Amino acid sequence: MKQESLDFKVKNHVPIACDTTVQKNGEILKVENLNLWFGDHHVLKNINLSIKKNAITAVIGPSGCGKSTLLRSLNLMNGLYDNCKITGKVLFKGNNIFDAFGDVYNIRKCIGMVFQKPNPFPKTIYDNIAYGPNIHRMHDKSESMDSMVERILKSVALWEEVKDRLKNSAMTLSGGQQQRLCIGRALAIQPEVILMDEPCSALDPVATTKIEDLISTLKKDYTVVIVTHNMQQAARVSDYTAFMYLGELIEFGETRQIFEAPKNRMTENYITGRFG
Amino acid sequence: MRLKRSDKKELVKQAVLLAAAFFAIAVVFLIIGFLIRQAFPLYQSVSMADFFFGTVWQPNDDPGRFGAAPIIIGTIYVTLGAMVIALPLGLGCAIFIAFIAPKKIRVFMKSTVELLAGVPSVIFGFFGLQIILPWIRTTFDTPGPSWFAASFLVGIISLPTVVSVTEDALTAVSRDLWEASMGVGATKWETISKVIIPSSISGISAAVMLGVGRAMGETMAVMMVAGNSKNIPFAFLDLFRPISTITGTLGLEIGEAALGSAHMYALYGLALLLLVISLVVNTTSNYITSRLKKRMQGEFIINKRGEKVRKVITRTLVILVLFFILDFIAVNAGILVAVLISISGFGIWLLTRFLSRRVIQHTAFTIISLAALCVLFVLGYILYDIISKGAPVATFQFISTGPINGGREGGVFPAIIGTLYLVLGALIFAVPIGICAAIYLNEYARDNLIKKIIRIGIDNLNGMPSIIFGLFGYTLLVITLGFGRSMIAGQITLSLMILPTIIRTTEESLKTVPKSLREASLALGATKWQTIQKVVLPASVPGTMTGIIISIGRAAGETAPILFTACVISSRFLPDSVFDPVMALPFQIYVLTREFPNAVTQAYGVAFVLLVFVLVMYSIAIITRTYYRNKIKL
Repeated sequence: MKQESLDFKVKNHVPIACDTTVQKNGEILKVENLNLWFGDHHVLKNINLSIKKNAITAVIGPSGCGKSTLLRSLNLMNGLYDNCKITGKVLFKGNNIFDAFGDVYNIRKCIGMVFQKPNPFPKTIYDNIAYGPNIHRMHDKSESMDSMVERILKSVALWEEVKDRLKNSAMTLSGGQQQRLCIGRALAIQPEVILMDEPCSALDPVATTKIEDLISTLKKDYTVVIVTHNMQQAARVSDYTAFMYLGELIEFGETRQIFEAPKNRMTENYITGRFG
Repeated sequence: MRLKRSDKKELVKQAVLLAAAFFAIAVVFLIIGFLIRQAFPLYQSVSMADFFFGTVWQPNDDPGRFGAAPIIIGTIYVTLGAMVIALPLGLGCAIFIAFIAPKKIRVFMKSTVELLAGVPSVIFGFFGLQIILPWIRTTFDTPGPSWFAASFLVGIISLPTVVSVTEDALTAVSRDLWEASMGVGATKWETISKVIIPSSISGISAAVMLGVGRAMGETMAVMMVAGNSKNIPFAFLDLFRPISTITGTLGLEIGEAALGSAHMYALYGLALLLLVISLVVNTTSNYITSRLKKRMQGEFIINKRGEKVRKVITRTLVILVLFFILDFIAVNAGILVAVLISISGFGIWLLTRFLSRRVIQHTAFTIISLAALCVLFVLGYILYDIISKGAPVATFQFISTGPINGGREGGVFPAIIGTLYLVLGALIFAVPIGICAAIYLNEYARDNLIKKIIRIGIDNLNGMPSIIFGLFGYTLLVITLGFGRSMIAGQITLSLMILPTIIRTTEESLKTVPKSLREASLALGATKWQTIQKVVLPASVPGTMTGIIISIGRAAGETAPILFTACVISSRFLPDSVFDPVMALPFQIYVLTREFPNAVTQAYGVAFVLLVFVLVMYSIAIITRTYYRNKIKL
């Protein structure tokens, strides 16, 4: 069976094989003819999208347009619901992630996720970061767990704030800190793509700025896909932007082009605030 | 300033409600006070040390010897044994219902388990007597009544409670955490074991303590299968040695002890001890639950040294428990077996570190499903046994005629009517007081010391073993007030027992009435009492009804409270006045199995009638609740 080759019998993570053509044109994720239904409700309609490596791609659109659902399809989170039906392909480095359904866990390890509401586990700050590496048995001899936690917390700019209380409950942190912790938790398993589902919608402006700065620095090592209803945010942080409306992908291109010279009337109307 | 008339009226009403709320604590203090007063003279005939550490209980010697150590140790053993059975099975079954079972089965299983929580313990005891004891006798070649039988049965009795509360705690964990864990690529099992269970630990510990309380307070089943011999079962030497517990001793000996004798005082001493233990269990469990909850929300700053000490303590405890289990296996099955088991256990532990995560998940889910199957099988078998053997007996003639030959033959009509009278009487006392107390707590009481005290009183009343109520009713109503064995004594005793249930459920349903409704009424110029009467109470009727129906089921099935207060073995006639004794279904089962071993078919018939009555009551309660829950959602 195909998924057996990707099983967890090995201690360390085996990188998913990479198609050479994919490497050349730099697209790490490719969505082909994706359709999704919840029961009878047709949520995603024939989506085609390709996401470049080490870039930030924003998905914008009015609420209810299916942008979160699209994002959740990219690491198979929709499969958690019983009445969900999916057709089409999502290619991660040339491999269809829907084929590897026995291996959801490995896919989710490669494609991490940050949720709308900060959702740290009711454990200590330390354990929140260590959770993923423990689960995936990423015991690395060159780096102890302590230094890994320190490195991750530094990379999400949280270390200075929490270094004296690593063993305190993560629930003692403020909302913005919690969200950065959740981003750190996702980074700790060394994913290649990070999906963010409106990561700032539950935060105040100061915390939002911090998260946006963080996202910009993540670009160096990771590929980021961010869903947002905040157009300024998309314009500020992203390299590419996709505009969705009523389950369809209306327009996709470089952010500057989308915001300055949209090709589609609907995109223009949305961006100029005529509906939404 | 003089009060207006309407204000005065409000004040009077408030005072009445407050009095009702205070009644609950008054009962608690009354019970404690009574037990202390009755147990006090014991001090003249036995010293404290002899009572607690003496190993000989010979009330009929002259002078009687009252060493309660065997009884106390027996109580602890039965509780522990019951928990060894109920906890793993209960947790497994709860996880199965919450996360593994297909959706359709889930609802069915959940309501079945809730239904089974209402089966009277005398029916379990009867089943133990008819099925489990003969099974032990033939399989292990021992007499039967034993520590093992009692633990097994009490474990089964507390299972539905443990499952139901644990399941609630598990499903109360927010969906966000589930997604967060799945989002970093955890398997379902890893999510359950590392996130969901730790997050719901406060609810799970509440379930455990509830189970402990239930097991410790269980009277009828223990009386029927434990053997009640007053010897100390030395540490795990023999599973099949007869054992006695505080509840069992009280149930059996209260009727025999002469009034004012040292024996009677000693029994009150035991009851007091049981009460104190159950109060301690209750209070600790409330404390632990609230502390854990606060810790989850991060209200406690964890200090590093405390954390280290805690770790050392937990590790020592785990090692001790493992050692005890191995010791137990070694004594009962031989050293070789113990060694083999420990080696294979260590091997399995090693294996889990190298096994694929998917294999671990499969194994865990298989074990959990097996546990759930076990629970369902045992509970289902009990129902099957009672129904298949009892239904043919319960003809129309059986339920419509009186007993013949001391209850060995004939029908159960007077017992049915007696049970109905008892239940109705209990409701007449408990419902008004309960509802008034609930209204006071939810509508009038401020968050102050008084409310706290009332709340503690109600919680403790709720956790009191039913035999304590029986003893209290016996002393106060039957003897002191001179009612004799009478219907009214039974009714009042039962009403005290169901009072906390009614208060709690009513309060819960009052809480669900939205604040905006109250404000809407107050804004129209209605007084507080008018608002409560016309708006709040009607909206909370379904919840209150559920509580009352559950109370009916409980009052109908409990045996221990009416054992010495209201019941007689056989009477051809219905009671003329409230001061006459009555027959009752649960009591009938107990007496039939105890006094007339040949009347088994008759007892099955009675058990069936009682089971049907109680199950119908609980089904109605569950259906009402689900119906109104869905209605509120729409």
